[in-house]
Amino acid sequence: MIPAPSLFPFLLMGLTSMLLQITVLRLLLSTFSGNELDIGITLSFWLIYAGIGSYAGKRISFKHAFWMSFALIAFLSLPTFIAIKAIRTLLSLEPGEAVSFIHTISSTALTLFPLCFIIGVQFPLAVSYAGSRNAAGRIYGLEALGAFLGGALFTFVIASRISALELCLIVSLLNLIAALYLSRKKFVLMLCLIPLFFYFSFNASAPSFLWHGAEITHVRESKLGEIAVIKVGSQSSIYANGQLAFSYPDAQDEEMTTHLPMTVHPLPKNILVIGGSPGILKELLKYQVDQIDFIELDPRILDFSLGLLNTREDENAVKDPRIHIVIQDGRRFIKSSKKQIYDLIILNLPQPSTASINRFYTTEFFREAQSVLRKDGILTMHIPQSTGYMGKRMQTANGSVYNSLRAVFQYVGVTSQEYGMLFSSDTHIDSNPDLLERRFMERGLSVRYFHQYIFRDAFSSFGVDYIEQRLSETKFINTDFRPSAYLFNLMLWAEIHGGKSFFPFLRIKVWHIFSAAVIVLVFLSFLLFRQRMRTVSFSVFTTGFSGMSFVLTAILAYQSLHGYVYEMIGILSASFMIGLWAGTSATKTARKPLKTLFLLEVCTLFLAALSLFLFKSDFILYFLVFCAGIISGAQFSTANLSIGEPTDGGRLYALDLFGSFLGALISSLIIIPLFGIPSALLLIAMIKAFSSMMILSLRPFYTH
Amino acid sequence: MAKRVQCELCPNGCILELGQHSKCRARMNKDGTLYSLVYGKPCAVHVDPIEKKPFFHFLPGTTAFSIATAGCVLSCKFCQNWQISQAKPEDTDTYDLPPEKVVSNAVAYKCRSITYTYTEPTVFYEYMYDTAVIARKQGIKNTMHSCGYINEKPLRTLSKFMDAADIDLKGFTEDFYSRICSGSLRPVLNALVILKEEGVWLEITNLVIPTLNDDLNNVREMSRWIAKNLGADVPIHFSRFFPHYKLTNLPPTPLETLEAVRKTAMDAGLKFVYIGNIRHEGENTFCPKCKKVLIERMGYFVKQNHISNGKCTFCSSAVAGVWS
Repeated sequence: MIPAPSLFPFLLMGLTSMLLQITVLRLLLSTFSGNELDIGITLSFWLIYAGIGSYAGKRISFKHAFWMSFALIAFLSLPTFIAIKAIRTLLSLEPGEAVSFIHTISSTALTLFPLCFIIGVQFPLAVSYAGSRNAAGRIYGLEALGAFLGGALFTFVIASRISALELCLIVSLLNLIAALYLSRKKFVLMLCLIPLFFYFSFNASAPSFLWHGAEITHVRESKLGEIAVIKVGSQSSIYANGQLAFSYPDAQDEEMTTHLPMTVHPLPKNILVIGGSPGILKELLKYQVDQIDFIELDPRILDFSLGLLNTREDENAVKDPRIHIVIQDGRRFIKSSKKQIYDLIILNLPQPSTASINRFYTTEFFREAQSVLRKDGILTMHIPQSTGYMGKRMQTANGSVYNSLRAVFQYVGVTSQEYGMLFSSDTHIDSNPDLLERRFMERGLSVRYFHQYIFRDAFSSFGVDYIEQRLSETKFINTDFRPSAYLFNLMLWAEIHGGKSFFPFLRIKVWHIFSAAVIVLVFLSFLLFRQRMRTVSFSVFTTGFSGMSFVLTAILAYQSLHGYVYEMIGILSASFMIGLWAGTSATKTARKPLKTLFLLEVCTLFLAALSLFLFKSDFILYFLVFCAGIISGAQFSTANLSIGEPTDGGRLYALDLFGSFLGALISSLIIIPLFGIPSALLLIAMIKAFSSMMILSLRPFYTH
Repeated sequence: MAKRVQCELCPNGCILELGQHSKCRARMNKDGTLYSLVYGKPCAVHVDPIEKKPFFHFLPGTTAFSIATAGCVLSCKFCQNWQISQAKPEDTDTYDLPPEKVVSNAVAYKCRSITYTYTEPTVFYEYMYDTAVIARKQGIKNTMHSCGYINEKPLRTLSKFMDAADIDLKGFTEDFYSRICSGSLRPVLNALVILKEEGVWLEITNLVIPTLNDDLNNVREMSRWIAKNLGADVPIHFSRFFPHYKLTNLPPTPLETLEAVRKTAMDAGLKFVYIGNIRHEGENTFCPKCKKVLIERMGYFVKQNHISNGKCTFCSSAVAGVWS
């Protein structure tokens, strides 16, 4: 029996691991400009290193190792934080430059190693410290509980309140307290100076090496991640997770975003603006409008942007009674609106290079927008501009948005390349340049950068025809469950840095993957048929693979549906971990392990299939992830029982780990970006179906 | 015996083994002979106002038939045409447009000039040269927009048929050129001097990128160098930067930076200093003597033009440029 007071270190292990994992994810996301594919890379490496650490930890039998591991974690947290922050500088990247694929993987792999390794080492050390017979199971449970607490704390308390640096410091100090408690040596208190030293020196030097030439004026946490404001001269720019959202003041952009669509619509009265700079409001008020709704998801971004306003015009615009500023997710706002009242919807967000932004460029969103637009209302947005030629990646990314619009609206108009605007409506849009020029001049607005000759340039027939032709060549459609943003990022890597090696990769079709999978499985069936050891090993490998695939799929699905998985990632991971522990303990003494294993495999199948429909619902997603955890844990446990191996350490553990590593990596880098979420779930179902068939081949399970 | 080949077109001076492609991707060594992979195969073909190239002192108000193939001698991190400049010719969709067809198309579209632009015309040198010869015979002018990274001999040969050139002077330090463009500054400065010597009408473009090349001291140095070595009459265009290619997260250039740069250049003695990519009085041409507006522009559109016979209609002083 472990006496109650000493539950603390084991709980702390789980808490630390979860909080540091989330922090590291947040930092890496920001370093890589919000590219969610790195979530898979980070989780896979975390797993592998922790696994290697576990394996190494079994070989350590030195007396003070356990409390020292807490101290080591305390020492490593802040340096890991600093190392991640330094990645961009060490790679000699210019501020604003995107990171290549190779460097994304290598820098994630290198910065995570020391910390994850020690976290892995701790588990076997904890087991030998506890000494009693069933320690492993109990400690595993306590760790999972600690992780759950950490995840819940993070989501409900910490996110958007405590900065990553401060969180690392707090975690370090907590671990030193644990070290003190376990070692009963007073000098450990002195060791607190080390994390404190890192904390203060980073605070002092950070701004200088991150953005040379520009001044960082604000940095805050938010539900999206890290929001930063930098200043070049008197122009400020707001960044969310390292991605540029908008600059203020930027009168040229504010005018272009306003006057081009407002002229295309003959009489706009009710306007909805989603995201972007509030500097647009004063421009919109130059027209005879009835109401303007301005929606911003992130309260931090809104705070910062309103705080930046520095002209009388802008400040008055915000206070005008016709303006309603709403802090809510744009999609939620529209879904709750239900009335067809808008003449014009301006989607004023950056390009869909992350899933969190991509959700505003999908068919589902366009349908939602259509439902609140008047019959002759127009939805307008901008896509990345090009000059001269539109290459394959831009064609795919922009083309998928274009096709998605065409699938929903009757009419979709484009501008020439350098303007990059799309207009959609259910009524024909007249974009004759002479007509628009006249309409604009008649309105007699006072503008500084926009002028009437822009229309003939933006709507020149040569330019428009070229764009329509280029965009129609691609067949992709952007949906919530198959976001082109993920694919877009893969292709970006390929085009900018990877070159030739990537392209054949990107031409793989769904049926290629499934046929290849079928062939591999058929081949495997010869090796596994009626071979107990091999079948069970394979089953464990696929459990790891599908378990992590499922978690990643859930995370990436959440991101593309809701946009702020960062805040929820604590609860999501923790649900899985609690499930794992519940599954393992429930089946500890299963009497017919092989039969149970078979049933569990079948359960996974159903889970994957059901998820296809249930993922869209917020609450059920967590429950599904929890179930996935239970099934995975139970499978691991029964597999071990069926061949009589102890669960901690041993071949099956290694196979499970390796499977998890591959599952996280392959599903996040290949399956989901190339084929979407339904395909990922289908693949999991297929692999598990095969595995269960192989187990069936081992019948009769027991000779009674 | 393996036959190596050295390309002598640009300062990269690639030495190619059999089957190897050049750094600009547009040339290769096939059986010991240097071949162009892009001759007659442009991937971008458009009709643009000549003000877009940007040429403000060359046939204002006319259109230019613009072509480009894939490939480029440099790899600037802020390239807005990166999709073709950094691509391999095999990976792009091309038109089949031999030199005669380029010229006949230009005539059909009523363009007064042909512009070799978008990517880097140096990489399609032979295609450009052959087209230029035919164009000259038919009275069509030849203009190019280049980074100036070309060796002396081919440049002088080309200059016999080139009527105007817009050269990107991207920065004024070797550090900028090597860190951001993977190239070097000196060859560009040499090319500028050569073009002037050969009597090609010259305009210069500089993209002002926040935190990278917006240092006013460098702008001053650059302006002084231009005034001294090329003449104070050379028009220079300072353009606003927008995020592209590898620098997708750098903010756009603040207007005040552009204005400060323009003022610095004018104080250093340059007579025709323009601001591009944003509407500003810096888009207009002012008479250096009487300061009146000679050409008023809005974007690429010429609203009024008070230059006749190459002279200011108000005070009759000569204005440098090719006006007809």
